[in-house]
This record gives sequence, structure tokens and C-alpha cells, in this order.
Amino acid sequence: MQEELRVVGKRVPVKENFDKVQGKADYCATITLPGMLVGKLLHSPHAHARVVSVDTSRAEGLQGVKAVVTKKDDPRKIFTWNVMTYQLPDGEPQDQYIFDDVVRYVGEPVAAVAAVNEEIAKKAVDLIEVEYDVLPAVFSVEDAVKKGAPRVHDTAENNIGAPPTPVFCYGDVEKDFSESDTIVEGVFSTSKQSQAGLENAGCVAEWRNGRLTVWSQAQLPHMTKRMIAQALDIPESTVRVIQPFAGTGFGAGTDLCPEPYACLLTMKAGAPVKVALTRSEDLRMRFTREHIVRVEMKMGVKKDGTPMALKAKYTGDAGAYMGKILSGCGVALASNITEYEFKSMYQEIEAIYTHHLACGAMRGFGGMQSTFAREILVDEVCEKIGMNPIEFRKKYHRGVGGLGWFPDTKISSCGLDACLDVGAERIGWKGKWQGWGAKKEGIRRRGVGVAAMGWLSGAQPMLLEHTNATLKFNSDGTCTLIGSPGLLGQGVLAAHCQIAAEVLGIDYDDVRPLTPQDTDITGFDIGTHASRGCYCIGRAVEKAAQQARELFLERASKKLGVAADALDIKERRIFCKDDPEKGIEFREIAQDTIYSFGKDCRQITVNATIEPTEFAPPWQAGFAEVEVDTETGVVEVIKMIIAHDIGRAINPTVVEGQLEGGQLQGIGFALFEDIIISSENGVNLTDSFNKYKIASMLDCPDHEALLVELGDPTGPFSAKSCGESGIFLQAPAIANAIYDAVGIRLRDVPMTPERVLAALKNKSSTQTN
Amino acid sequence: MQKIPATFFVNGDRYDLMIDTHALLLEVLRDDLGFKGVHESCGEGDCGACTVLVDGVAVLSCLTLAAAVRGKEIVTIEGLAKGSDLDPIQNAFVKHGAIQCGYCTPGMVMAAKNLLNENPHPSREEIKKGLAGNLCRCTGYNKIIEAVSDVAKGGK
Repeated sequence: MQEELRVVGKRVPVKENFDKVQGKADYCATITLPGMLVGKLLHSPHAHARVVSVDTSRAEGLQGVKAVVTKKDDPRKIFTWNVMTYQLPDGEPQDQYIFDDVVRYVGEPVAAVAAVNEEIAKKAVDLIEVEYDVLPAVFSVEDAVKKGAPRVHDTAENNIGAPPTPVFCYGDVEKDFSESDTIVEGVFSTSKQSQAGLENAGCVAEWRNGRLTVWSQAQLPHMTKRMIAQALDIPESTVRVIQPFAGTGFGAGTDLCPEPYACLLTMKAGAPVKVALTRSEDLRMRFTREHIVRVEMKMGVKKDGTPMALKAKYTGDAGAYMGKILSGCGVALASNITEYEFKSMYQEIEAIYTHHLACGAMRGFGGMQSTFAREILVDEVCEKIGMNPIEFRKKYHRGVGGLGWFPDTKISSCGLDACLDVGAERIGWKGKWQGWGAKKEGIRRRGVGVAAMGWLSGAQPMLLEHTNATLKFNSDGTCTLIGSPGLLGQGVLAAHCQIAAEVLGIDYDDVRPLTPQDTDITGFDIGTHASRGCYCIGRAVEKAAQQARELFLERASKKLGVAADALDIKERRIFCKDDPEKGIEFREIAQDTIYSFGKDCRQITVNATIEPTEFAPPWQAGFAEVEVDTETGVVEVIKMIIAHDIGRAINPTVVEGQLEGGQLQGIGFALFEDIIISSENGVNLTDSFNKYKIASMLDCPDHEALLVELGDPTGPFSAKSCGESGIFLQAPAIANAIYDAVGIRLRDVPMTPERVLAALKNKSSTQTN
Repeated sequence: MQKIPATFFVNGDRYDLMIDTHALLLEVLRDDLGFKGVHESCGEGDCGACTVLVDGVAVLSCLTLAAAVRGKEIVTIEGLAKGSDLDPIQNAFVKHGAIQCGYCTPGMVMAAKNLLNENPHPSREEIKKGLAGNLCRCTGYNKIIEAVSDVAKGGK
């Protein structure tokens, strides 16, 4: 790893946080424009109904109402809220209209109103009369595939969105199972988690002089622009997406939500319209985590633990539309390949339509679900063969040169052994883990558990991960960094500025990121998803900075009469490597590029394009210590440690923040977060923060994220990713710790007190019998 | 809708205006007076994003009728800094990385101000209890707790 770094690796403050901490940062929620109208949606109360008629006359007659839109205003272009469909050559399925003839989940918009204030807009929504032909609905994947089940889409027979499809299989699993000494298997279920950022879904749209400007919470602004144009059937260049700060993310911004409705309203009203959803609407309408409702997994090993065969099937409950369920299941499958060196693997995915709210993406996309199943089964295997679960993981994980997620990808670095070591040390594994079958007594019993995983730093080469970064220099030697990662508060702009400053030999303060971001200004970028921000975009920033550095050195070389390659830049000064006294201030060269009176003006503006191909997995070990109350079923997390192989932390404070934030979302996923939809009528019963619980400070146990920095040969300054990684290992490590404490194997998240008690009861009755 | 006259002292300045009888403090501060740092999220008192100080005490502006706090001293996030000098709590939040998306931040900082006014040297457990009504989805709370502890110990 490079030495003598001056900016990279430092805990410098995230620049935009100065605005945020003073309440000066703009979000979609805070943007106001002259003459801006308030938009409100009319939602279907039915899970499945034909929309026979929508009478808007009374609403339109209300004073102050400026536009009412229904399916009559929809150009009827098929599209999907999932803007990531553009990252695959053949795309992901598209099966949505802005307003369709049929509603397919409770909460689906049927009409929208724009009015001069909220009160009138709400009143107008109430005045719209909709005639529904209510149809039978289906609320589980099991029911959906039964013969004669109500159909969600006419085109999908038996509600099969995608039939069981094997992907990335290798070897002969049946042969390897037959040669295995120990086989374990299980059927696991996981929940439909909500991203639940504190800012509710919202946007502002303005149609003016033939252009549509949309202020959006998008994580993927350029593809959002393209999808809005597709849905509205207007040229892509007509649309401009501006991203102020977003008070949400975690995958939420990889799908559209209120944007199409706000756009239709502003185009009809001819005035800007804000559609800001309430918390309840957000939870009922925003596409949730990819809902891999069932994971069936089986693994076989030799007596000494040698991994032989792994077989798995991932079943997605798509909900009303395909959204990201297929890619979610696909990632569950692909990410499961990399962890252990199985001799053969057979995995398949399937997706089934139901009348649930559809799925988008959430942090830990797909990998959450396969990791949960796999890491519990590994624990079971270890018990059966009498092996220490840390030893198994150390011995059999894949290493450098091993198979990545996608065919022909290779692992470029692996720090998992170190992660397992430092994590075990910090949790006190040696004293706390008493071996398999250790007897625990008392009402409250403690246990420890471990889990491990490898993730990715961008979804290349499977998905298009094209990125541009631009540096534009000012006459005082500072520059503007023009990129488009999406402003979710991930802190990655700080890392980008650090990378640029380090390469250029200038200060962190000298590089200012562009905010808000605007697709009219920024070059194309996929945006933020798949933990790509630091690794992929960071590499484009690094490349742009290197190009700019060369231009500065060339110019300085002319001034100093010294060859460019004999020069270096440090602390804002360009100097001769052999004679450091001889040099010139960086600022002077910058000024000369702009105020040159020798007919040599050339402002330095550099754009760099990156299409990353390497697979740079970060690795992680997670350790949980829990206390289980055998009378109430309550699981208390005493301590949760994750040790993360980051390659290098460009900004350790930011990296820790990402991991710690993921950690609490992971504890929520493990123990209490769950969108509950009534199986009688499809109503979301958890549409507020007092029903959909996210962790408060009182739910915050002693938790830590430890960084392991061993470098990666492909990353910018050897960095790998951290955006999603914090969230994976709580559920499996806690499940394994619960087993260590009370001897029950849970296969469903969230692991609620009810489930714990039921499993304890089941165990005691089995023992009695 | 009925309008009534109201006077508020916000961040040290006097404002006289006509408000709807049913207007929430949040709406008056944000929409009528332009204090956009007062953020709305749940709108029903679950999350604390809209926290402001009324006569020195933290209240949820989404649950407070503006008419009920006429004549009172109100402090929003915009009122904490003295000119360009940030409040020590604001500095600590930036320094410790206690901010990510930043949407909960104004409410969290005001709740921390209230906590430290009441208890200048809280323990970790007291900080957790004192700020339990303010949800943050991004940070995992560690860095917020560190920031508040730092201020309590006299850090800048």
C-alpha cells in the first residue's frame, strides 16, 4: 500500500454536513418554488379491482384545484419503477402503467390532484368518485400458484412471474451429495423490510417551456431521467433530474415512487407541483426490500468439513409488479457462490406475483437472505462434525483468485481471516463459546454466534456500471468535483474529494463537490447502488485527478524548464523531485490557465470515464452475544461486533458510520422489523413508525464496526466497499447465538418473542416425548 | 377556515402574523416563517424529526397547535449558531460523523440541546434515554452518542 498519504485515510468532516447541521440543506421536502401546487394521490382501498370509472367532475369544480389526472392522462407506455432495468442488455421485466385499468394492491394510485394548498387538495381527492369492480385477490405465493387462483396479470399464467430457473450452476451436486458425510438442509423465510428513511417519499416536478424538471430522491438520477421520459413518452433530453439531499436511501431511490404522478400533474396544471407522501403512504406505496419469502437450502460436507455440494432455491414474492424481485433473487444466488469453496452448486430462482405491494431494493439486496440461510446451515454442519465454527469459516472460505459472483470473475483480495480474528478477540469468543452442546441454566441464558460473508464493490461485470467524474479547476488552484452518486448522506463525496486531493497534491478543502446534483450538468453515472460509490465512482475521480495532474505538470514544466516527469506536487506546490527548492505554487499554474496573457488560456476541466470490470469483494465476520429470556422469548443483544475487510478506509469515520448504520438496520431485520399485510384484505397493518418499528436509541446495544485494512489491488487507494455491508450478519449471528444460548434453531426473521417461545415450547415437548 | 392573530418570538426575533386556528407549530414555522430546518416525517409524534424548543423545553412541533404557543420563545435549528459560529453540539455532530442523510439531524440536535440543558453531564445511558424519542435510520446512533458525550465533557 502507498505510503505517506496526506488526505486519504484521514477523518476529515463531510462537507455537506455543515449545511445539514444548521438546517440549511434542501431536501425534496423543503423545496418550494414560486406558484408551487400541492399534489395528493387517491389510493385504491382494494387489493384487486377493475377500475370501471373515475368521475373527477366534482373535484375539478372545487375552487383552487388546478389539475386532476387519471388513466385518461396517462400516455399508456409500459414501464417500471425499477430504473435499474437499464443496466442489463435485455433489461428487467416492465409491467406497469402510471394508471392502469386494474389496481393490484391496496394503496395503488388511481388518480391525483394538484391544488393551491393541502387542504383543498385533500378535499378534492375525497370528491373523486371511483367505481370499482372488486375482484378476488391472493396474498401468498403458495396460494398464488394454486389452480384457479386469481390472476394478478392476465399475461402471467398461475401468477408465475419467472418459473424456477437455474443460474450459474457448476459441478454435479447429486454426485457430491452422495459422497458427503454430513448433509443439512432447511427452509427459511425472511421479511419484507422497509427502507424507512426519515424523509418520506416525495418529489417536485415543474413543466415549463417544454422542459420537465424533477427534484427527486433518486439514487440513480440519470436512469431516473430516462425512465420518466419513457413513462411520459417524451424525449429523454426533455427531462432534467435535480437531486437535492435525500433524507432516505438504502435502496429506496433505485425505484421511482411519486415522480410519475407529479409529472402528469405539472404537465396538466402548467405550474410546479410537490407530491410529498405521508409516512403512512410511504410505507404503503414505496417499493420495499426485495421480498425473498422463502429460501430452501441444502449443503453437504465431508467429515473434516470439506464443502462438497450446495443446493438452493430462492422464491420471490414479487407483489403486484416484478420490480426488482428477479434481480433480488439473482443476487441472493450469485452472492452465495463466493463465500465457500463448494465442489458443486445448483441454485435456482423463481418469482411469483401476489396482490402485495411490489419490491424494490434495500441495503443487503438479496445477499441478506442467502447469507441468513447459509450461515445458519454452516453452524449446523459444524456442530454435526464437531468443528469450531470460526475454524470452518477460516479453512473453507474462497480466497484470492477464487470464484466471484459472476462467471469469469475472480476474487482480488480477501481479508476474512483477519476479520474473524479481530472480531473473535473483541467479542471474547474464547471465554464465551463453551463448545457444542454446552449446558446453560437459568431463565435468562447467554450465547454467542458467528457468521461471515463476502459482498461486492459494484455489480460489474454483470450490470453496466458506467461512471463519469469531472474536475473543473478555478484560478486559485481549487476545483469543483462534478459527479452524480446521488446524495443519500452516504458520505462518499468526502471520500471522492480526498481521493482527488491526494492525487493532485492539494488539500481536502481545495476540492468542492457539486451539490445539488443536476443531470444537465453531471456526466452520466449509474449512481449509487450495489455499494459502488467509493470503488467505482472513486476510480473515475482518481482517473480524472491523474489526468488533471498531468496537465498541471506539463504546464509547470514549461514554466520551470524542467521535464514534467521530474516534477512532483505536494501541499499545493509543484517542485523538482531532485531539487525541491525549485518549484512553483499550484495556485500560480491554475491562475495561468485562466488569466494567461501569452495566448495560452486553457481552463483545466477533465472528465474521466470508468467501466469497472473487476470484482473487489469486501469480506466481513459478525459476532453476536445475546441473552434469551426463556419465559418471555425476548432476545436481548448484549454485544454485536462486525469486522469488515475494507481494503483501505479512505475516511474511517464515514466507513464506520456506514457499517454502524447498517448494523442497527440488521438488528431490526433480525428481531423486529416486518411489514405485515393482512391476508384477508391486503391492507398494510404496519403503516406508521409506532407499528413498523425501526431501532431507537433504546434498541441500540453495545455495537462496533472494526476495520481491517489489508488493501485491494484494484480499488482507488486500495479501497473496497462498505455501503451495504453493515447489515448482513446480525440475523445469522444472532440466530446462531440463540442456538448457543437455548438450543433452538430459528429459520424465520424477524426472530420475534412469539417465534422464540414457540420454538422453545416445541423443543421441550420434543424432549418430553 | 378561521384566522387569528399570533405573535411568536422565534430565534430571538418577533413575528406577528395571522394563523389558521388549527395550524400546527410545524406548519407555521416551516411554511409561514420559512424555517425549513424544521423537518416533518411521521407527523404523529413517533420520530422527533420536528423537535424545537418552546420556552427552553423540547416539543414536537407536529403535535403542537401553533395557537397554543402564541407569545412564547421558540428556538429552531436555525437559531443555534451565533452568526457563523456553530453551537458546540453542531460542531460535535459534524466532527464525530453523527450525520448521514441529515433529515433527523435538526430535531436530534434540538433534543440534545434540551438534554444538555437539563443534565449537562449525562451518562451514556442517560443520553440514550434522553434521545430515545428521536429516530435516526442512518447512523446506528453510536456517533450521535459520542458527539453528545463529547460536548458534555467540554469538547468543542
